[in-house]
Amino acid sequence: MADLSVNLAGIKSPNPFWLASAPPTNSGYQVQRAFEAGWGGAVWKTLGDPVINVSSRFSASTFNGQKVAGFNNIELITDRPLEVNLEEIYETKKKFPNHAIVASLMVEPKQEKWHEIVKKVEAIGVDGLELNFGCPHGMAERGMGSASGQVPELVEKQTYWVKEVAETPVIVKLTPNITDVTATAYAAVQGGADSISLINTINSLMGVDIHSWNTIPHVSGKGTHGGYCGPAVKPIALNMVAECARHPEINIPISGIGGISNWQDAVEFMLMGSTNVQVCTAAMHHGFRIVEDMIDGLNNYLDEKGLARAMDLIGQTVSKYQNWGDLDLNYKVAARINPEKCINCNKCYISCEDTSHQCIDRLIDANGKSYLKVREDDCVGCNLCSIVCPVDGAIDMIEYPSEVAMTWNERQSLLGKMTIGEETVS
Amino acid sequence: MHEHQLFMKEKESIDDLVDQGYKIIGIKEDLSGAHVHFDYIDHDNRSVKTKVLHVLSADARKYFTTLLFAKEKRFN
Ligand SMILES: Cc1cc2nc3c(=O)[nH]c(=O)nc-3n(C[C@H](O)[C@H](O)[C@H](O)COP(=O)(O)O)c2cc1C
Ligand code: SF4
Ligand code: SF4
Repeated sequence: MADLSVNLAGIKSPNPFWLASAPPTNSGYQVQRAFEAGWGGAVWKTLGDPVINVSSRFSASTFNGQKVAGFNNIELITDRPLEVNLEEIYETKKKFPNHAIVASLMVEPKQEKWHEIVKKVEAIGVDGLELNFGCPHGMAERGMGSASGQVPELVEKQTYWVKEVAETPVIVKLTPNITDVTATAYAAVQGGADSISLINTINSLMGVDIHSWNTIPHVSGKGTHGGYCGPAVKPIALNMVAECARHPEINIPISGIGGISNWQDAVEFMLMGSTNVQVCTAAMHHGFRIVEDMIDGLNNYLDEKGLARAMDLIGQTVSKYQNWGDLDLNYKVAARINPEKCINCNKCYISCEDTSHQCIDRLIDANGKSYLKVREDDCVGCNLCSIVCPVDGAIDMIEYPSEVAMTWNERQSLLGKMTIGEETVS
Repeated sequence: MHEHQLFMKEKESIDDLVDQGYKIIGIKEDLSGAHVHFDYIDHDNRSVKTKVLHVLSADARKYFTTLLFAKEKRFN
């Protein structure tokens, strides 16, 4: 059995599975039940000046009848007084001394405000602080959350103010509602952050009811943008984590968040540079006990890989994530249809013929039976046919490793030496 | 014409020139592809013949640069 414990910038937890700051970590009752179920850590629902929430806060997208592809919320930070939360944090920490409890914080971008809350929260004994610079709705209209998280100078300054007084590790939680997340991640590093966590939710409007013309959700006929999360955002989150992980000047540990629903997702985030992962939507969808499968799955995976520690996974894929210009232009994959498995639905043929490179032929065999065959020479290896094929294993993408690997950047530097002016046609 | 057929035709033209002893001495790329300049160098090392191929297909543009790149790698 592998060692699942992780250490994120000095914050230790028995496994890498933390609950993200959100409804699942709203109270001591919930966090204690989560720890009993097996979660290794929890980032408490964001503390700050208590808010008042609206009713009708969540909505979700389904995909082909499958719930929940993406999740949208217009909830704000905690609506409970600070003292109540602190009391419950204290009780929870006393009962679970080996589990990580991190307090998420959000106040106005003023030095004295940050100093005040940091001192109060650390006085009751938390393992770390997470600065919420990410909440995209409501709080942002008051200059907090993503409003300050989108401005690198404000991220740096506020992180610095927190670090002036903080005694526990400081995690800066980043908003994805920015063009280049490494700009704010770097600002956090400059401000002295011990770790970054990402992503918070993505600006979203879940829908419009075409009968009533109301937004979804609506609050008495009016709507406002929310924050999107859940499985739909995982690729966006994973890329942002990867961009930070491979940035040479962002060299603090990362806590990965966004669409993580099972142990495989967690492994992906860890391979891409996350020290641990935080989960919200999957827990809201399926309850705390999903962590049991996550722990078992990770354990078995590490055993199969012959790894002794979960921390051995961290960042293993980062060096494989590069700029497009560093990819090998001569590497080729081509589709091959497996007639034994194909059910002749023609989906691959239509997709290639209409929207790719017209290289699947419809042929008739000696017995008059129709079948499909890829002209591999014309196939550009776009993968579309295998993406749309409904049968597992009916299309294989065959790899043809290159004899001479050559990247776009290498090609351009070669051309740079050989470029001449006007051509003369002989 | 299928892309691959165009590539094969262009590759053949490139290979033909290379087989005859031509060397790529310059390239000009623009919106309509690549104009590849070949020189035939005679024994006295004086350029005697020049040919230009207008290469259209992506695979052929990749092909001639790979030839050059492989050569450069061998000499480095
Ligand atoms: C209903 C709801 C409330 C949330 N509240 C907070 C919050 O108070 N503070 C915070 O930092 N993030 C908050 N989040 C964002 C989550 O912590 C997390 O970053 C995001 O949901 C992405 O993770 P997921 O895809 O696993 O849900 C909230 C998310 C949801 C769905
Ligand atoms: S991989 Fe793309 S180009 Fe090749 S057969 Fe499939 S759809 Fe067509
Ligand atoms: S999509 Fe798959 S199952 Fe359908 S015809 Fe193509 S290979 Fe066969």
